[in-house]
Amino acid sequence: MNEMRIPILKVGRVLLVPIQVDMDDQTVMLLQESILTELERTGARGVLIDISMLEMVDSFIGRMLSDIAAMARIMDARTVVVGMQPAVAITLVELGLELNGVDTVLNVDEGIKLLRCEIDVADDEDQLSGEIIGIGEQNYHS
Amino acid sequence: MESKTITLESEHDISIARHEVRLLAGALGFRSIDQTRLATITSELARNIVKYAERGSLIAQQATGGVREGLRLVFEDNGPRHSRY
Repeated sequence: MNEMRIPILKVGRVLLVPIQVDMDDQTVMLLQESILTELERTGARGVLIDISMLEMVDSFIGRMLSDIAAMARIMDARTVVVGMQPAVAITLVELGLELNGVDTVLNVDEGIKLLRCEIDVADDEDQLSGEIIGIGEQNYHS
Repeated sequence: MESKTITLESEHDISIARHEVRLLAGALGFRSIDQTRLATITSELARNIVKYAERGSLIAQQATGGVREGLRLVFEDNGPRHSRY
């Protein structure tokens, strides 16, 4: 059995996953694990999956994309899927398949922009809660 | 055009099946969107066979003789009538 490897690249605080081959089920499962492992290892806050070379998304791959988004979210990272071919979008809708919980944008540029925005917002919230904890500590000591 | 039989018994056969169907559809002049439709449907049906019937086959052949020409895809298995799940 040929096992294919999909590269996972870290760009800033985003993991870039360019899927460039038709994946068999084994590869799909492997990719899911690798993305989560890389999220933990690198502390990335976003996952950008480029499916522009994918000529087909069936229910299995669709569910994989949804699952990755859900798992990444639990690990405090946002997932964006970019570059879906029109024929793939048409077929997904015709089959009644939904990519639940997955944000989709047209291209990698837009994907990076969206993820940067979301990561910045999350950072601001972190800082805010950090300050509140700081105030609490001060009160405790006084 | 010759007909093509693809054995379906492992997960890897699913991707072989959809690849072959896309090639055939392309050779028969189906437009890109229809190639995607056929490949996607092939993937779904082939996975059903591998998952629930364990083994089966896909016969893909050019359909001629009628008013229209097309591609005939026959999915066969001898699995249990009902899925185990």
